[in-house]
Amino acid sequence: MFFLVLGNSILLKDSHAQTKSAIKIGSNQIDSSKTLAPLQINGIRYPHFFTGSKFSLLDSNSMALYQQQNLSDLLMNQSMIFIKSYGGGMLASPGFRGGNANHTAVLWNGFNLQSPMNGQVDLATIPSFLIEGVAIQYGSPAALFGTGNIGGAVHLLSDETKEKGFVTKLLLGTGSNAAYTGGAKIFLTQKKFRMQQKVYWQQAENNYAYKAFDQLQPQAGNTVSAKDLQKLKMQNAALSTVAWVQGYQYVFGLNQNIGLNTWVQKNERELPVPLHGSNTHAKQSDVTNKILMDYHLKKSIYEMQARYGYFYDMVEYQDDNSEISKSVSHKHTAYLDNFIYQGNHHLQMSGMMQATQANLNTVANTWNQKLIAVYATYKRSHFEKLFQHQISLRQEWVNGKPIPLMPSYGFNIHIHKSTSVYGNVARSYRLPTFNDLYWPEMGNPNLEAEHGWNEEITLANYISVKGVLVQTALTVFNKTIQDWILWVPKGGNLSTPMNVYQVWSRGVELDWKMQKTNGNLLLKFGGLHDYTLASPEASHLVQDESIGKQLIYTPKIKNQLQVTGIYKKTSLAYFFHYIGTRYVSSDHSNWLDPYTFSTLSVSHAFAVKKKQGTVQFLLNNLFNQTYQIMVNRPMPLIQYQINLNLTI
Amino acid sequence: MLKIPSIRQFIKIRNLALIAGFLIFNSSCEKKNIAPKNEVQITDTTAKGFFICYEGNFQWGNADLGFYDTQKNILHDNIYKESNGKQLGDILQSMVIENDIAYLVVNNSQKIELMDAKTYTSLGSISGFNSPRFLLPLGSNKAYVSDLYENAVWVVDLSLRQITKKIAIKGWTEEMVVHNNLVYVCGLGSNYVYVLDAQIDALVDSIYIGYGAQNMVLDQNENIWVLTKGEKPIPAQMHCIKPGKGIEKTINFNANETPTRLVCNGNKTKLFWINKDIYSMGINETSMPVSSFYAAQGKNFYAMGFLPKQNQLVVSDAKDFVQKSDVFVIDSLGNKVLQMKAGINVGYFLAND
Repeated sequence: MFFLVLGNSILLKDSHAQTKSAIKIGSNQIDSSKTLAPLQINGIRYPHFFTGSKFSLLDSNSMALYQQQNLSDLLMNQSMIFIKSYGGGMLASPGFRGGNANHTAVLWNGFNLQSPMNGQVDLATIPSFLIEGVAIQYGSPAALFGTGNIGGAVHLLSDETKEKGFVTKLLLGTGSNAAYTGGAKIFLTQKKFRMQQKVYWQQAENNYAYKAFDQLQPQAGNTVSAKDLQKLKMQNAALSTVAWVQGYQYVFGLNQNIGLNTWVQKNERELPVPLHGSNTHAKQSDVTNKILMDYHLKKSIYEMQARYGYFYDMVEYQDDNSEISKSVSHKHTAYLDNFIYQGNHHLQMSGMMQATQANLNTVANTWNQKLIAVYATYKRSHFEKLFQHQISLRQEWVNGKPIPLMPSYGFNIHIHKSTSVYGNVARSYRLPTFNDLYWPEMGNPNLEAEHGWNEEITLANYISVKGVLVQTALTVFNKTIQDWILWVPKGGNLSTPMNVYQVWSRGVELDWKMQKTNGNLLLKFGGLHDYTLASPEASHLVQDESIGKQLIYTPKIKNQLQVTGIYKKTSLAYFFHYIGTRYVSSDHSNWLDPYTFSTLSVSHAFAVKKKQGTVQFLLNNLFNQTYQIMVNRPMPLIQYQINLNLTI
Repeated sequence: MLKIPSIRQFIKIRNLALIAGFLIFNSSCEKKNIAPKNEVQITDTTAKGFFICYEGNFQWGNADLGFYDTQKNILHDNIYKESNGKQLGDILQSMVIENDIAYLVVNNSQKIELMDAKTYTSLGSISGFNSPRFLLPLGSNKAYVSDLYENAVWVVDLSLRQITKKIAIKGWTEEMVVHNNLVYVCGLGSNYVYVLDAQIDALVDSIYIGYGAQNMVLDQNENIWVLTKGEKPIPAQMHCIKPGKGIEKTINFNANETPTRLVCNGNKTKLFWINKDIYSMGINETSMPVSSFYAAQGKNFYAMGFLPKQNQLVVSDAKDFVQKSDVFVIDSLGNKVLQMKAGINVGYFLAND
């Protein structure tokens, strides 16, 4: 089930206790021997250079329950990220530490998947089945990963099997609302060659039950309560997904390998009608093609990686009232990374070039952007690696124009064998999106990048006493963002983005986990708790009533609790979530009250003729709560899912 | 005897205390929000003043209405919800009063809500529209309703409270004026102002007019002024149409200017519009004013109306679209005489004296 690993040290083989049970990420990079591990399918980039960063890891066990679901469902249930979901299977974007959706990068093999059009990643379009792990990085890794990494980053991980020969994993699933899912993963592992093939298919009527309860506060006096309303079936909500992911890596000699990864996917979604909307039969098609190539060389203390990625994204929208709207983007990115690992000195020096072209509907609306960046990190270890710290610096040019230097500093101190303190200070930024800059009649080409500073410090403990394992991490963070982009009236029915706010976010996060084994029974308890204040402190708007008030759609409080019991091959897990008030008007004249929801799962592992299998049953929204995350976008009432997983 | 815990025990205790402490802290930090009570109770049903339409936010269903009593200088806020105990709907686009009935055009609720203009009580609604924008009463219980998506202007029987037919017009239809039984209709997504014969309910003419007619007013000389938004390479323009003769005068705005919300003063001799600042021009002038009538000074002016009896402009600042608008009343000399906080996205004003 859920496994939380705290602190940057999980990424370092030479770190302390908590590293041992962490999933392996980029293991060949961690290995400092002169011979490469046979193959690295993929993982996180720059694994040595996250000193001072806070991570949460969701490994394949954590993700097992969500094989039928998408990344949005996974992160909503298993992380502290606030997912702004517009309904089951619908647009879902991440936000944490008071940041917008476009302040959270989603990285695949280190390549940023944020749309150049709107700066977001729709997490509902990423099937959990296609990834083997997720690393959630809190705070800003902007010095390493560039624009859009203000609140944090979500790293999508691919795992590698250790078994030689062919391994096949199959998924069959069904659930409420005529949802059917199928998937297959084939891994081939040989001494010099490794391959993976993943195919995924899902189709759902998705006509989930909901109650048409207007939850926007304050409500009119005669509002009927949710209990008195009849259940309705969501209209115009069907969806389908087809995806194919491939990975190939070949090792030649003792110190080189080359790799190729592709990801082809098409999502078709009808867009459900909000409570105050009319059914215009809106639907959206998302197509993405991703191609990555890499070359890796290791010689003695020196490593080099050259990577190239091509990303094609197409989004097509249509409804009864308007002409088809189609946006297409092509992004080419090339990296050259150099690493030197000499004892207690680690050095990373990289260069990046990126060319992006996007088009909206007509040839006239074609926009280009060129980025060049150079960045480097120096990391030093002291006292047998009980104290590590690093400094990074990034300089980037956007269409030839430099943006301010992006420095960062991180440290990690093991003050006791089970206790560490780590933290970092980092500058961050977000470039305006193409929509911000060029949207017909409304874009503002004079926008400045959002920029600011992040500071955070974490105290982490990991202890086992009399068979009880207790793990905690308490984090305090502080973040400022200048030139926050906001869309404001322009005239008539038009609006335009402006650099409006200076925003201050600060908060406290507590992650904890307890684990006790008693004979065949393993009990796990865990919690994630977040208290975040995020408010504009200055504004270019005249007499702005939002000053000093909590940002919209930024709950001050999020709590998550989970209990898991595993007896022999059967496990039972319960998840509880509390999400606090979300203001939807910036002057707090409208809001949505807090909501809770629960999830219950049962799974049983079995073996037939040496073939491993798992049957899982999941109940989402266990107590049938009527709730909305976004205003007037009702979330599904109770739903079930059944998965069958086989490993052949 | 007091036993001193070992470091391990201490850390364990500390962990548990940390968890418990944080849970208590976290769960006690959020007070439940309580809606502020509307302190102004509606008691005077003969009040004079002006209505303020709170457009609200798209798909939030938070449209409402305010009424500013110019005799008592009191704003009655959210009068529809307060008077009827229910929400008005989604996006209040515009309103008209005819025979003491207020017709509230609720755009994204696809309806026109009828409300007693004195008591603010709901009188039902007319439904069946696609995306209604403006209602133009034509007498004899007949009205036309423009529509964003329907490719038509609706014909409505106000006494039966139902749609009787529609007149096909391509594209988005917006503001309308009537002159000698001819209805002039802004085509916001086209190059034309359309002319309908209100007696036969038919399209009888169209006038080529740059691009995107958005506002339309009738002046003292019975000329029709049309403000267009333009579309590259056509700039925004102000046109003067002489009914029956066509365009008499055209004045271009500079490229990239986005003028909007054309209104006319009480005796219909002066035009006002928003172009970031507020501008004013006499109907006999032939060129754009070089300086503004009232400077925005950083405000985001969004909607504007004219109060004929007071001879004053009323204008809203929508700020960031998701907070309450400021409303300003400006006298004929360009001095601010009143400022107040109203609803979210104040998008329309209607005098009711």
